[in-house]
Amino acid sequence: MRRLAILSLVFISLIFMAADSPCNWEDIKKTCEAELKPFKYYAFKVSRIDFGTESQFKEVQIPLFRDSEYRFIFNTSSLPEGIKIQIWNAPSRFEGRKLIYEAPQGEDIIVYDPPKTLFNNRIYLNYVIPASTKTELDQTSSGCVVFYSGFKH
Amino acid sequence: MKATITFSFIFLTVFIYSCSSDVKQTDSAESIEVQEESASISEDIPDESPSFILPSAFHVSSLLQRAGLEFEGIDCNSADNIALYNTKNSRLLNFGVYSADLFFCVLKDEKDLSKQYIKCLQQISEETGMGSIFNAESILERFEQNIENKDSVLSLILEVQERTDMHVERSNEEHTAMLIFCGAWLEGMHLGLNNFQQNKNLELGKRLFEQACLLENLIVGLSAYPDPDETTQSLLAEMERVFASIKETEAFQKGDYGLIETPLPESAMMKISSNLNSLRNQVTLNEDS
Repeated sequence: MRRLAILSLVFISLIFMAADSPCNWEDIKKTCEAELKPFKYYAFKVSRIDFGTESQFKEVQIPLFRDSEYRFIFNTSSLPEGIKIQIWNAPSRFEGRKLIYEAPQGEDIIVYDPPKTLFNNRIYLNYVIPASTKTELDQTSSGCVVFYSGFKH
Repeated sequence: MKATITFSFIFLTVFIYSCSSDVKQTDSAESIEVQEESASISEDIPDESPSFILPSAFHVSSLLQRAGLEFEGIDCNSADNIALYNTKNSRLLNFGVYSADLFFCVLKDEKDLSKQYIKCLQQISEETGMGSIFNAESILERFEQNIENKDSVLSLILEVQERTDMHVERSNEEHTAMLIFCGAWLEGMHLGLNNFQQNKNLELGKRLFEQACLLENLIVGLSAYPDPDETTQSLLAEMERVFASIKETEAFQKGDYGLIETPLPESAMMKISSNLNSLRNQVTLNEDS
């Protein structure tokens, strides 16, 4: 009986440890899938983020095609702190680029259907990651953003 | 004895946790590498090398088809050629080629060819360690059962595509996705350019120009390929040559981060077509360069 109790304890501990993983992208992706209809799967990208003492900046290029309609879904639920998500019409090195969209802060799941008139054949996602507000940085200062997207067929 | 068992369990728990932590550390070590590049990058300092997403090969095929791409089964890669592919890289490239052929055949309602191509994909996925894409829920069986229902078949091939992307993410093998996409891109361009030469369809021409601009990313991706063999090296060299000829055109130079709304000039199309056809034959017939 005591052995069974110990086994159960060990089992429960293991479950909690697995749940502690900073980026369960497969589970996170499932929540994005629910938001996709009526669009069809286009692509997804997992961007891993470790908050540090300095701010950081990640840029991801997304190829798009003329006269097509897309849906973008961002899930930031695994991030311990907030970040800015922006969409630009050109990369950051390009002077005079224009901001197409900035996601509202404080929401775990963001769904955005960009108007066809706003984008080019390539647009640029920017994740602006502020310096951590925590004094001690450890594994809990990490997470990921799952970008999931669809197109209308 | 009980104490020994208890300590053993505790030890086991700690051991398992430390192993999983190692995995996490490996993951975060990779992130740190990426971050080290960007650690000094603030919002004001541009990142010179943004990462990129590969587009859906199915979406690309459907755009070309809507633009009026017509083809006969004979223009696609023969399913019999699968016997020629004996290296991992040639298999991955032709996984992409057969994916594009499958997409075009499904869109055109070519049922027999579609069945042949999905079988090719299953075989190559098993040969390259990606068997889980097809095994989990017997995709092939469902494909054959639903072959008369185009919507169901489309959903299934999108599922195959998403499972492939998930496999790549799980195994941290972005270069695998790169080779697969290169194969699909090559086949789409091969069919599209041959069609354009016959019909001079301007809408198709614009779509092909959009596709040609993806070369920039494919070149970046292939240049970073961790274990390039003769096939990937010759693919990269040829793609660089083709892209150089596209960059020379006025149409490309005008399109700085804009929307492509014109086709490439016909002379550029002919040049690209000749280069890409020979490259596509090298890939599908597994010929030496």
